[in-house]
This record gives sequence, structure tokens and C-alpha cells, in this order.
Amino acid sequence: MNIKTLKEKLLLDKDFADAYYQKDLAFNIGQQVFLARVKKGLSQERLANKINTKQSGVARLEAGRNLPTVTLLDKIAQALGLELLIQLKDVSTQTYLIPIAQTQNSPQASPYFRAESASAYRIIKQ
Amino acid sequence: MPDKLKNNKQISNRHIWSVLCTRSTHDTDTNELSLVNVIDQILIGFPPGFDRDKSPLNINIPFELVTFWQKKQEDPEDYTHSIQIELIDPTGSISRVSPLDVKFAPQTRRVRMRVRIEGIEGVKYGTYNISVKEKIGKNYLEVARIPLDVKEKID
Repeated sequence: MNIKTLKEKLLLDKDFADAYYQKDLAFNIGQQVFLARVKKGLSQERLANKINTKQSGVARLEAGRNLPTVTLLDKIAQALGLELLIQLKDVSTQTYLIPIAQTQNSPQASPYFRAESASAYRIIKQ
Repeated sequence: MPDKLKNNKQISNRHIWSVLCTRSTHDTDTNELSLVNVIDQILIGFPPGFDRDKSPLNINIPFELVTFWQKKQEDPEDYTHSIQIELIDPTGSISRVSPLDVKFAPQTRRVRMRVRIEGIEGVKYGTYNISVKEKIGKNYLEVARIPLDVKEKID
């Protein structure tokens, strides 16, 4: 059994799936905090001091070990001179872009192309 | 609706629509998809002195097939549906086959696939058809067929 098949089987279990996606969110938040902190040139200890916590707490957050509260995230954002933005996004529809097939360039001077619609249409006014 | 679909009870009804356009844009903040220039023909114009017989002609403009799918109630949370896009030339030969996976992640009910086709090699004049097929059992069954005329522009 490969990893992909194992993951699909495990995700059929609701409790497992809930825990899995919560971890995913914690990891994403941790990554964002890490990148923002590094961009500001702060160490974990300095950030921890600014938000009145321990360096180990910042380390656990950045590693995605736990899901921080909104209040804590707001404190971190302010400590980094940033604004916390929370967005509720509809994920019921996903969009993927897939490029397929490349053509070889013609060695001659290129002809030109125009893509258009030849279909007749009527504008219906109400 | 293509004749094949009329009496075919195997079609899954996961396919909603397919459209051919020059490009599409996806706003990742609002999740809105915009289609730009829906097309059904390509006109080819030749510069003076161009030798049309010297080598095969390639159409180097990209266009996009945007195809929209919906998961069925009975499908599992994390589900992948196999589809296939075929480019059929004016002689009826299948000049390109692209199998694709439509991945429905958990909490995702619908998926839009923007299939970017980077032109056509060895183009022939006439009507191309882009066939959209889905896998039912072991076979791929057609759910949509979109025509694309390739013509020479006469000045």
C-alpha cells in the first residue's frame, strides 16, 4: 500500500480527518508567523518578549504544534508591525490550471493568427 | 447533446459545462473565474511571400478549455474523478489525448479545470473538435464536444 492510498483510507474516518485538517491549518499559520518574523529580522526570543511569552511557545507555534487563538495572533501581528487579516473563503469550488502540450516554432516567418467567435448571437432584452 | 449521450445511462452527471476561450483568469481572493473571449474559430493569415507548402504549419497561440465538474452525493470526501481531453482533427483522427485527474479535496464540491492548450501542431483546415470524456468503469465516455474551426483568412 502506498502513502496516497493509506492517506485516502485514513481520511475516511471523520475523527482522523478533523484532526488532520486542523493540523494543516496550524502548520499554515505557523509558517506565516515564521516568515513574517524572519522578514522583520526578529529572533524567536525577541518576538516572545514582545508578546510576553516564552521562546519555546513561539517555537511550538511556528512548528504548527498547536492552533493559536485569534487574540494571540493579533498580538503577534502588532509586535511585528503588521495587521491581522482573517478571511472566510468559500472552498466548495476549487480551480486548477493545467498546461498541456507545447508546439515547436516554425522555422519560417510566422503567420499570424486570430482566434474569434464566428457564432451568431442575439442579445435578449427584457 | 452528442448522439452517444442520448441513450447512455452510464453518464455520471458530474460534468456541468465546458467552454473554449482564449484565456481565463482566476481571482484567488474571491474565487471568481472570468472567461475571456469565448472562441469557436481560428483564422490564419499569411504574410506576403510565405511558403505555405514548405513545412507543417503550427498554431502558436494558446487557448483554454475550461471544464466544470461537480461531485455526486455518494462520492467520498476525498475523491478523484478521471477525465480525458481529446483533440480531434478535421479528418476525425485523434491528434492529442490528455488524461487528467479532477481532484475533489474534502469540503470541495465543485472543481473547475482550466486546461491550457499551447497551440496545435501540423494544423489542418476544417473543424477540430475538443472532446471531453469522463471515466465510467473501464471506459471513457464523452460528455461534451466543442467545435473549433480553422480557416485561412482571405484578404
